[in-house]
Amino acid sequence: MIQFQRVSKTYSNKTIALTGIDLFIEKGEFVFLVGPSGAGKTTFIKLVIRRELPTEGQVLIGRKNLSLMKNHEIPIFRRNIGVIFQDYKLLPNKTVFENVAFALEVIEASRKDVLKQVPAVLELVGLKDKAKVFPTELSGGEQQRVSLARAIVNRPLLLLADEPTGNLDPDTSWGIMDLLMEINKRGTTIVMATHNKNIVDRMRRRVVALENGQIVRDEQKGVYDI
Amino acid sequence: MKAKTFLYFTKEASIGLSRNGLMSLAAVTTVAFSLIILGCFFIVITNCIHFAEMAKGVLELKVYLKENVDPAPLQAAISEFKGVEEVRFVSKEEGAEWLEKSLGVKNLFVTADNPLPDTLDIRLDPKVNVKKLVKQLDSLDGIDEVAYGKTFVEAMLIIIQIIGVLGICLITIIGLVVLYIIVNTIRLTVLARWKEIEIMKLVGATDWFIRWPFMLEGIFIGVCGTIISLLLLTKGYHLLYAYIKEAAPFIPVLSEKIVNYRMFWLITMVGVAFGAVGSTWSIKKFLRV
Repeated sequence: MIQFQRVSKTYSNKTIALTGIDLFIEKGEFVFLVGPSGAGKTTFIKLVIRRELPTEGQVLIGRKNLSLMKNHEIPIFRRNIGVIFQDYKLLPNKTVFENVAFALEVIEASRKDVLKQVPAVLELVGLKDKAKVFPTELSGGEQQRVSLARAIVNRPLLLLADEPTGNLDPDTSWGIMDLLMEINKRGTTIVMATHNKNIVDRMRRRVVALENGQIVRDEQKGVYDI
Repeated sequence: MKAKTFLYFTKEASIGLSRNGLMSLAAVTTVAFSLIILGCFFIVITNCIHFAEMAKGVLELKVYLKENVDPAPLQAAISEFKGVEEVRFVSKEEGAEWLEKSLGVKNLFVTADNPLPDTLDIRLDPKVNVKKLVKQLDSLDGIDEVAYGKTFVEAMLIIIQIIGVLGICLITIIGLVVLYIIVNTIRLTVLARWKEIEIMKLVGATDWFIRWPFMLEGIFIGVCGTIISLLLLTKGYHLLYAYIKEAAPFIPVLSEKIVNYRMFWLITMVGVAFGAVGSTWSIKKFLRV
């Protein structure tokens, strides 16, 4: 699903974000990406959604080499990837329903599909009653669930989560984790960047640890620290 | 593009405009004022050019004939030349009369022979190529001399050219300034919404899908600015025209109809095109996600 071959990324301001990353993530896997701030987790995610290009090496998603991808192919490619952000990135002037429907509207889905899929996914994340509410009237956990709903509404093959529990209390965080596991069970590959030791230690999934832009540990059923 | 998608764009554009109401109003006002400035310069410059053309139009050539030449065939030949509007024969007697009258004396040539030559007065078309015409006249038989205020005519022609070139330069510069102002104003409205663009990009919207609503908004702002500025400009020119006709009727001013017609096209095209271009440019930066 995701393949990094000797990937290095240096930003234009000379900041070295990643160096010599080799990584293979299989379809259907659930991977935690851990490490201190500035270790390169967010850059990793940006490379996967082709928001950035590697300075060296290659990133392959499925069979696509992202460095060779043409500009007009990027939007189509991104439609197969859902992204959840720590800061939710919801549109404040749209209701919960509209925020989720937005992901379908930009890919020109039919009205019928929108009316069918949005309620279904809102039901899944437990926000069916809040469809007409604006994001500012929701709690952090609820907002994160809207962001999750938007990420999965067009059934992506790959779900990237950049510290999705970063701003949430433990109970709410577990609510989000349950949803992610549920989605993972349905076959979606999930990569989650996190600082949440508790969650990583209890889930016992594959853990990839980054430090100073390098992979320092990669273990199945791993924990947050050694 | 699907009809449904276009409908979506229009809906998004109108939502964008109304939710950023104050910003849109500011943008429309700025665009209107910029266009008014452009229009004012346009009015002044076209009138200058018109004035110069008119000045050229009152120019006359005098052709002095040799002694005892029959003026009729020459008159007929010259009438056929390009740029000649009217050829009038002035005999030496008429010339003397005119001279006496303008000098305010009588019997000027009583003691001596009348030394004046027979003359053909040529009134010129404003678009004449004077040099070429003079060359043509010189080549005719029976002509002694072609007289025209050489330096005056040539200086006039140069001034007219300079006014034309300067006018075009000025209009272009002001056009660019107006474009800059419009782009920046629209950029402000876009800046408030970069987050929206980022999210659209991340969920896989194509650049054109994102651009359309912004472009429609830009066009709408351009159209509103155009309408306001045209209303004020035509009203303004109407008043100015009436004032000049009253206070200084000898100044040749372009008719309202001509000015309004030309201004309509200029302002409309600039307003709408700049609105569209402005918004497209403004979001360019944000599309690189």
